[in-house]
Amino acid sequence: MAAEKSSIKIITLIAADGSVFEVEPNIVKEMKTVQSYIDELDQNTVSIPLPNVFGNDLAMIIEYCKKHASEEETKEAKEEFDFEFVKRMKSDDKLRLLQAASYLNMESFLQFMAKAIAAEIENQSVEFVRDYFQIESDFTPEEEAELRKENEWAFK
Amino acid sequence: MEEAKKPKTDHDRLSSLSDDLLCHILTFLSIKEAYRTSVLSSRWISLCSKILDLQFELPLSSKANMSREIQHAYAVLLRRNENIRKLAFHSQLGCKPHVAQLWVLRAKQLKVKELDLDLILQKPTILPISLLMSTSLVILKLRGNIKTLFHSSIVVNFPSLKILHLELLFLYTSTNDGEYDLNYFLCGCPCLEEFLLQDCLIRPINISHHLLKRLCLNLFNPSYITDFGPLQLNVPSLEILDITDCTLRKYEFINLFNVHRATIRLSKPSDFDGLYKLLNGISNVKSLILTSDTIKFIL
Repeated sequence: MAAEKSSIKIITLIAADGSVFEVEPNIVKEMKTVQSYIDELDQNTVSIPLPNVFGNDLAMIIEYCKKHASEEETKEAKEEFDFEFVKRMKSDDKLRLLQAASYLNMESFLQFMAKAIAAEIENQSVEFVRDYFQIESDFTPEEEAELRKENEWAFK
Repeated sequence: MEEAKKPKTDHDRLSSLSDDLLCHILTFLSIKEAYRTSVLSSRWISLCSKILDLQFELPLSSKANMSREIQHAYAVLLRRNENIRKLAFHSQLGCKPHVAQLWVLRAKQLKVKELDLDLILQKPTILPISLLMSTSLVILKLRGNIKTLFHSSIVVNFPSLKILHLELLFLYTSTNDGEYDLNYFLCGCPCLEEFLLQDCLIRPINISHHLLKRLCLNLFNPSYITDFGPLQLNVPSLEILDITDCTLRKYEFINLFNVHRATIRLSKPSDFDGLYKLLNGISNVKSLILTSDTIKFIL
């Protein structure tokens, strides 16, 4: 088994919009969904369709994986990269990447995104969070007031 | 909705974040912050009750505030009936013994997998004995003024426990405590892989376990005790050993051939024989860290 896997030189990922990415096997190690594909197929070149991930998002995820898979990079350089990576993202990007991480079954990237999103809604008003997740409240003003009273301790 | 074949539009994607993913985000917020989201919409009311990891940080505030905070924390717990993975309580200001006892009992009822109590208790506290017979616990971390759990009349049964941290700030009171055989406790934890013990209680320390991989001992020295028993280790699977010893003990190590990383901090000069036995016991180690004090004693 190990010998078969190591014979794979290049993995081709095809995003939902048809864009194609060619990566080395160590880059997709974190992506358990992709990995299970590779394990099933017994071929030298593998091409994997990812219908739930768009090209732009996949490019970002691959960039992240490349940085984190690199053995030359120091821990500090990786942390610095993470910081800049989150900084240049919009809220929508984070939410989409969280879903992509879930679909690709990438545990640590999922944690990373969930944490980044949590940091954005931390210490924000209810209205801000509603807007952030595009939630339509289905409460009447009376119901909401009641709920706020019930959870009063959390608002202190 | 989740399984739609064709790619979704951006707007759809946002509103279709699954409950699991939203819960995941909530896990990174404080409990208070997370519960504030229950007023967002009816879907979010139930989300809070699905958070897997609950970490209560009791704030540094006045006593009156504190007891209110504790009541609310407990109210949150009472409303939970689904499985909780991790339950943590941290308080820097201290809480009353009965509060800690209530929490432990609730944690047991809720069959949590991980319990982490870091409490400065106002009085030495005995936790409910039933805690020691928990089939669900995988990780148990206790820290604070918790009265010894080591008593030969108490049955210990942790069939799933893998990680045990005991940092008990408890001072020596009776001679009986000193004679407790730690192996009696460890026999009740057949799957244990990691054991951290910070204590000044048990005088002879005997740890014999087949599966234990990581062991960290931090042994204190109450000034009024001079006669320490030996430290006996028989742990064939052990990989990482970390010892801080402020006592003056005899070391009897057998079957430590798998230890590849060891850290030794001694703060009392031991005789040559003692040090020889200590180092000889871990002769297969690949990485060895000795503190400057320890090296001084060797040279």
